[in-house]
Amino acid sequence: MIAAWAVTGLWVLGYNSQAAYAAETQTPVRMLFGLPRWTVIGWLLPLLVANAFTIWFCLRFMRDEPMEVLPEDE
Amino acid sequence: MTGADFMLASTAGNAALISFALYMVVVFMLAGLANREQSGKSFLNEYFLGSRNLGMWAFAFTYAATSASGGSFMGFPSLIYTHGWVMALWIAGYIIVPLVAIGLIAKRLNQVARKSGSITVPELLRKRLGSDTVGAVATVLLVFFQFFFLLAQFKAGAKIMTTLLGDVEVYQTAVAMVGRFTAPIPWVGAAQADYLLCLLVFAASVVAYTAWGGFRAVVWTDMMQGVIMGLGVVILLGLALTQVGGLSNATQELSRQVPPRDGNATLVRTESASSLVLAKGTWLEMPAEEKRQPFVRLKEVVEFSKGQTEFAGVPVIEVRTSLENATELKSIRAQVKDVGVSAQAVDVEGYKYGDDKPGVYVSAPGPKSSSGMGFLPIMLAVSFFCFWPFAGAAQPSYMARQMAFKDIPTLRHSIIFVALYFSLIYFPLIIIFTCGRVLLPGWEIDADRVMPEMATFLTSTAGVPWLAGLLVAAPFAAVMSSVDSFLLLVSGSVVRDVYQRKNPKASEAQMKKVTYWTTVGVGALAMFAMLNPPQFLQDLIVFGSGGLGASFLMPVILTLYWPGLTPRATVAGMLSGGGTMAVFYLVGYLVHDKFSAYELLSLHPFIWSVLVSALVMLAASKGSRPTDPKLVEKYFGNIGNKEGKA
Repeated sequence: MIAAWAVTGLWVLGYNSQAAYAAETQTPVRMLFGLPRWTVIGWLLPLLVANAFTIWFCLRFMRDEPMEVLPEDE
Repeated sequence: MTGADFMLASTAGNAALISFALYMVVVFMLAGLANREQSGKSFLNEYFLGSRNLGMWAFAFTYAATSASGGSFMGFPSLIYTHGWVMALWIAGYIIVPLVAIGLIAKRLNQVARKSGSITVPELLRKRLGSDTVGAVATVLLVFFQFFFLLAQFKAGAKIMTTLLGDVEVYQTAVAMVGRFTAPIPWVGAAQADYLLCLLVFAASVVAYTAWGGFRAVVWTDMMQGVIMGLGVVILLGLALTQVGGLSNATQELSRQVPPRDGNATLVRTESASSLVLAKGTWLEMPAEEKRQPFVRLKEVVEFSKGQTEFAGVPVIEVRTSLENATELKSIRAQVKDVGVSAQAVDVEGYKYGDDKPGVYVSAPGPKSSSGMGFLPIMLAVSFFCFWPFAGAAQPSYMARQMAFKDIPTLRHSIIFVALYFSLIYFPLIIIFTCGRVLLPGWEIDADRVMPEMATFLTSTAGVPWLAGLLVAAPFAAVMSSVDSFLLLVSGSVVRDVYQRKNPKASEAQMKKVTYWTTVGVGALAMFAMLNPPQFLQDLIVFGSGGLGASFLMPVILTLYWPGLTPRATVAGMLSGGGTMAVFYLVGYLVHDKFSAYELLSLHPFIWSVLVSALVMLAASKGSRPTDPKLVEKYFGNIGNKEGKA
């Protein structure tokens, strides 16, 4: 989980530290699918990949464990 | 207002009232059903954790709805509107929030809570470490920081209701009555009558259904509210994209926008035979420039008396629209009315970052009026990427939910659901409110109102004003779903960790009574504190959640995973984390002369607070009294036993 967070962070912040902070000087604005290009590559794409990873992690990686039966209120 | 305008406003207002009334009826029906569920079950376990039996939909929706608070639906849209696409970077940590915030501790937290029979976070810490001091400090910090969060939600709830019911005749009559009744009362009379009435209704209804139905009512209403929020966002997105002429057009117009300038103007009128009132938000057209068309928008109501031709020092913003921005120009010109008044001697000041700089709304760091470094310098973006997942992991209101799911399949399906739900909410919100800058320019005069204004504008333009009620119910649902959870959390801590500790033999009837009155008392206190609210809603929210995150992140993680943790280190970690956060805000207040964080090296105080908390815990654990080995054995088995004795 922490590794997934770190990889996502490197992607989003690493890419956007260049792309998003340089976009101001680009005229006309560079677009992809009608959005500023950096938001697609540096935000939407990692969002989709993170969701795919989350689905894989939860369905394939997370182990089932029996939950303890709770004693009635103390 | 023309007759047609009045009819439209009345229809929208009545539709909003009907939608709202229906919504409240369903909420109270769910609370009644939840109350019936309590019979025959242990009161505290059922009232505060729903008997730890939440299935997938209930757990996922209550987690998502509690998380999407008034901040998401009021403060966040306001920030998108003010700063543009850079908000995608500000919220980017949400990409991974469900996996980190839930996945990091949920399973272990649930197991330890079951093993210890805990129903609150302070109780869990106290039982795991065998220390009353740990429990007491946790309770104090939880109540303190959570209360700030609660205050912000009360303000947001009342503000939404004010917009929702603004045109309804019955409501206006009630406002006038409240105004007359409260005017002579000190402190209460200083509040605006419409806000006061809405705050009273909001507080009374949310406190009533929370106290009546307990955790189960909160979860059930969260499910309904989660559906309303999702539907609201999807409908708003469709309407916004249709009316703005497509996403490409919105982005292109946005890229040509420059931030408004703020200042004063002198208003002059040609005819003065009668008095004249100009509403807040009135637009006045200025002489065109080569590439831009300036307009002036009033930030306050202006009243010319009979015979008066000039009004000096009127607070205004100057919006300078690109002549290429057809949609934006059309929208403003539709609102400009010839009232025989012109703006002269316009004395305005530009943003410190972004003034006269096209492209600033589609790039980072984004425009900012008060700082030459822009809204989001890269180090602050790094801070927020850490803030959302990790502060989220340490919110006691989320942890309470993580104690309540019934099994691991529920957990894993819920994480997936929450991840998809957040994607559905936050990404469209950014698109909607960047479109809002093009469709509804000039709302910098009151940016916190942009969400309900957009809902009303989009539905009226589309010819479906009745839909405004449902769309405005979405942020209202977000606020309610957070307030009910926080009320329950605070009352749970007070009842379980304070009252029951002092009165261990209290009967169930006594506990019920104390629980109900505590919920009512906390709600009343929050309402009273918010009669004259502070201006900065989002700052309160970030302070509250940041303070909770700083206080509980390291102590809770180490409590769950480190057998060698000592009670003294836990107390030191909570106090140093929460204390550092408070100190940074105090310094921020002294430096900026307003309630805001001091960002040392452009990093958010949360980062410094967690670092301080971790270091202090490590230092304090050396040489302090270890946790009772029997407790280490109970929660960690053989592995813990070895490490605990080491």
